[in-house]
Amino acid sequence: MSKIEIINHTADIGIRAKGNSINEVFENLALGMFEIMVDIKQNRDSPLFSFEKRGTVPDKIEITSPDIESLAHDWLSELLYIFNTKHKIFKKFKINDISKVKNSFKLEGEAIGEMFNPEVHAIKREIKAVTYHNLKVKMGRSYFCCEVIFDI
Amino acid sequence: MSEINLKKLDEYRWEIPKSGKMNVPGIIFADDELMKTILQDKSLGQVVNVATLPGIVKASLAMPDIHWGYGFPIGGVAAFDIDNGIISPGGVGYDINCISGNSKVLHRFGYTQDIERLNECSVNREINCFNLSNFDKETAKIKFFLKKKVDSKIFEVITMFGKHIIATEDHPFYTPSGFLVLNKINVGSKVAVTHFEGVPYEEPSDEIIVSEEDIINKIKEIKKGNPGNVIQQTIKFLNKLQILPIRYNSPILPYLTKLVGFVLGDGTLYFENKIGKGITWFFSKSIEDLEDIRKDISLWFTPSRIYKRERFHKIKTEYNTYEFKTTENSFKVTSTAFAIILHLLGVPIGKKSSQDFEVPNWIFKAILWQKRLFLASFFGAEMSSPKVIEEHNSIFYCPMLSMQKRENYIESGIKFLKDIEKLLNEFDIKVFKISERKAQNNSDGSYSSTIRMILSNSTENLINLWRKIGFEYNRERSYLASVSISYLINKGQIIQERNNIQDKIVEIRETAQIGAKNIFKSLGNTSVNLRFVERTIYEGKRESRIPLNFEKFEEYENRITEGLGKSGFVWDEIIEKIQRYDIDTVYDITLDSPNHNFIAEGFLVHNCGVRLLKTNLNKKEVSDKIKDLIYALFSGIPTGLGSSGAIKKLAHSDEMEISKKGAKWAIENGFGYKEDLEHIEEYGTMEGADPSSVSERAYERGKDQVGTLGSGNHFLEIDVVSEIFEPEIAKVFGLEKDKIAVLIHTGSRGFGYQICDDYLKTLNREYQNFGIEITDRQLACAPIKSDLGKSYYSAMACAVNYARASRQVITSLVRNIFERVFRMSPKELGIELVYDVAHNIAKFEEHEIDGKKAKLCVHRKGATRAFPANHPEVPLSYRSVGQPILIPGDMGRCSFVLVGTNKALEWTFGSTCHGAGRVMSRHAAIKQARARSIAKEMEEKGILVIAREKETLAEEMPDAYKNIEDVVDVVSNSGISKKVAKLKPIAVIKG
Repeated sequence: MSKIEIINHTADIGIRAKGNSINEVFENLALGMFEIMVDIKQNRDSPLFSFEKRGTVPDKIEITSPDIESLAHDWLSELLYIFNTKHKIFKKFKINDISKVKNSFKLEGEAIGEMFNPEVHAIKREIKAVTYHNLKVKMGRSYFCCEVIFDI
Repeated sequence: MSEINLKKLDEYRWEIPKSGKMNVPGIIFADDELMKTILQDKSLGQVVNVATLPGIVKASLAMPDIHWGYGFPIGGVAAFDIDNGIISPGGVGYDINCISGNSKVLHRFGYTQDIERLNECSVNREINCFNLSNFDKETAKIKFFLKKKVDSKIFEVITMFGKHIIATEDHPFYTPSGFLVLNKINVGSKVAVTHFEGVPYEEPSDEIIVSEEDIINKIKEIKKGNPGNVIQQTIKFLNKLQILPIRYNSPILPYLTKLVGFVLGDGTLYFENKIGKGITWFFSKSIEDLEDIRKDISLWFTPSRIYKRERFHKIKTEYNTYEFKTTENSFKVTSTAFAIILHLLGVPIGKKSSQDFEVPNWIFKAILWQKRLFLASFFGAEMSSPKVIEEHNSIFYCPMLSMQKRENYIESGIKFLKDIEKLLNEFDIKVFKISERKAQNNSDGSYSSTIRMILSNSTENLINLWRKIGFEYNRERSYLASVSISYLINKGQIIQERNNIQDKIVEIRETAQIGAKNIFKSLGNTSVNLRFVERTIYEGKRESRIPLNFEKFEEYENRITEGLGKSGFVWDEIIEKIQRYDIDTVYDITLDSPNHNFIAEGFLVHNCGVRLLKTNLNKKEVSDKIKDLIYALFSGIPTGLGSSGAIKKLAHSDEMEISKKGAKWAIENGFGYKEDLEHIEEYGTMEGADPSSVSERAYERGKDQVGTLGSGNHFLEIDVVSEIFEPEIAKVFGLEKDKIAVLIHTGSRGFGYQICDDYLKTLNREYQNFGIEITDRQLACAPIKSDLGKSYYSAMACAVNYARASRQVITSLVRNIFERVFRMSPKELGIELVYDVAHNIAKFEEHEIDGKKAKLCVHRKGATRAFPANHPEVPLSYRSVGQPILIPGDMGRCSFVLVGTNKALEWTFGSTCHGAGRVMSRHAAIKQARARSIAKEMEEKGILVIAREKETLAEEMPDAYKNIEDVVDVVSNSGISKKVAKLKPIAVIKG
């Protein structure tokens, strides 16, 4: 089972991320989004790109949204926002917790990346926005999946 | 989706005739060939969607470059009446899709009928229905009835709550992510269902209940033999309404039945000064419920407005005196005819507590669904709400009806409730007891009693009551009833599950002879604990109870109605989906859509536009230097991420000024000449922009993007004017054959995307508060007149201005680079702005409708304005010929300059196409381009292409688009614009 699949749409691009837990799906969603934007294969692999290594300072991300779909949307939008404003390209993602608090969902996650450098990174295409169009999160017992369409 | 009826009007125009819930027809501009490609995606369905929007004028239009978008198709034009005020691409889902013939459709009168027999029903032929797919509680008229042979897959679906339905694969169901077609719904998916089932339909007889004579006699009786001309007036009035005689199958009877039920509960009827005008009052705590009643009454009679007043009550009981304050809402109907009819149908005149009255006899002779209407409406007024007992969380209070009667009339009160009991028995609903209790001492020394009827609170009885009868004219109780049924079913299923586990425990114990701990392990089931296993083993099997941690009602309520409001719909889960092969005919009804004013998202936010610059340079002068030029432009005009902008990072205050002033800001800061402004729509500044409506995040994203090109389909291209079609007009535009021109296509970039994202997020939380339902979350919206709607509009205007400023800055950069590369003065180069036009915008414009001028809100989504000569909104220098229209093609073919025409004004609210329109998905394009060098192919055609982003070239390759020449031929041959000049690209920068 491929963890990330591309969904076709006439004008835009979507991804379907799968996983054995909702955390994994959210991690895969982020990976998929950056894969659409950046050629990650050409990147250097630094030992710092690991949550376990000392000296690595991940970006901590906390999001609260009214439902699980919005949470997926907001998680990706937040990463996109950091990418666009700080010019940081993320390579590794870790969701520490997704939980339901009262009537909303809360995510606590981390992302590790490096600053954009045109010598090293190839931008494949720009994602304008994460859309709500056909956005869905499926939660089974052991099968989790999320579909998102990006505005290109 | 079943096929769309497409009629060819002439060589270039197609009509989707008005049908179903369309308010206007759809008109598509295309020739036969283009129509073939249009039919490949879902855009025609979206044209129909737009045609259903309230307030739409004339037609839902589509340009030949139409393709599939969100909500609106891209390439769509629609104009809306200003008074009915909608500004939106949104709308309700389009649903010609079918369900099987024996599917029960729930009628608003609380009976169900097989859909295949729905059009045989004689009562109230214009019935208002809702079904599983139409989650809105608002009733809707059936616009047309459809029967067709099966031509797609059919599925049978079974849900956790035990509902099942057979439907075609394209039938939409409401799910947490909006309407989804059955094909996309699988086991485990959530769907919205309602538990209310009502009773099966039966055809009522034509027996007369109230005749003209009855009315005459009653008036004589009330007016004490001195009726004057009241009889004449009343009969004349009722005959005009065509409601006499009232029969069991009269269209008005269901309404009257409900009204009688309600007034017997929370209404009162009297004649002024005993013999004067008849007045009927309706009381309720809920204004919404009163509005529902008013709506029914106003089909025939005229209700007053709703009055609101605070009432102080003082009630003396045997034991105590209670004082309390309530807010009471009420309205009245002042009509003798109305009062006489209600009275003849069983409503007593005057105080109900101090007279005898019974359940009207005609109710007993009515058929079941009519009895239900009477009961449900009486219960809506009088019966207690579904409620769980706090200390026994999962058990409900017994439903109760109570009446106040003065001491001499107690017997009749008991008789009345006994009659209700008789009626309830016909629905298999059991009454526990009827009791009387002295309640209050009256000032005249007499006393009043409360007479109570208490219904059994067994699960079966409650489900029967709420599922078959429920409540009318009481939204809150209807809602609670639906949630309560879910709760009871859920509880029953959990008990059943626990019983099954008990069986299993006993079986394991008997066969394996192992201890409790091991049995518990082998169960692998988390819904019971070890104690449960022990108890089963040591105390034997017995009827299970619900676990102590069983979900509280309130929590359950929140969970099961999340996002569904108080519609009475709850979330259910599909547990089985089976394909059926034995069904050959399916049916559908198409319903009216609710009227809402809103401004929707995802539409105006990416306000990209095009601008064309002309130069004095010749093709020859440029060809030698084209490589230098394009590289200079490529490095001088930032495209996207990480490229250092020509403009240093903007301060927050600068961005606010840009949002307000648009291109004017750029000019004031040295990016261009004042004359440029004259060739931009609205002189470069969109009115109504309020920088405070834009978030910090948008400013943050926008601070280094003014003057950047962006990516995707955005570009800058160097063109040669290769062909002139209208020499006179071309001259006015400053276009000469073989001269060089520059075409720039870009928008508001991250600033606009962030505005969209911010407002979508808020609207997704808020839209339900406006009573708006959406089919796709991308269409979350708010009424244009709400604060949120207004705030969004101002933010959107900021994005429009940002985009214009950005294109102006790029223009200035282009001028500088040309000067450097060609070592010529600005005057020699003569780089002038021909025009700057947005093709994703809604504007308020004046148009002629049926010979009258009307102010309309014209939406152009992926369409360009095309105003003719002499139109006041065309810049002065072009007014004699018309407004220039810039149509960029794909990077390998050509682009066009057109001019607006009178025909466009007449046919398309002055609009035309905006480009070529995609035909291939990006992914498919990349696949096709594999092993090809698009850059090389282009070079062979004499076009130099540079792209920053790796995949852009493949995704944007010419094959991914319709041929621009075909598109432009259609708009020019049909007359909605005129070709002026053709531009051939020689160099292109892609973002």
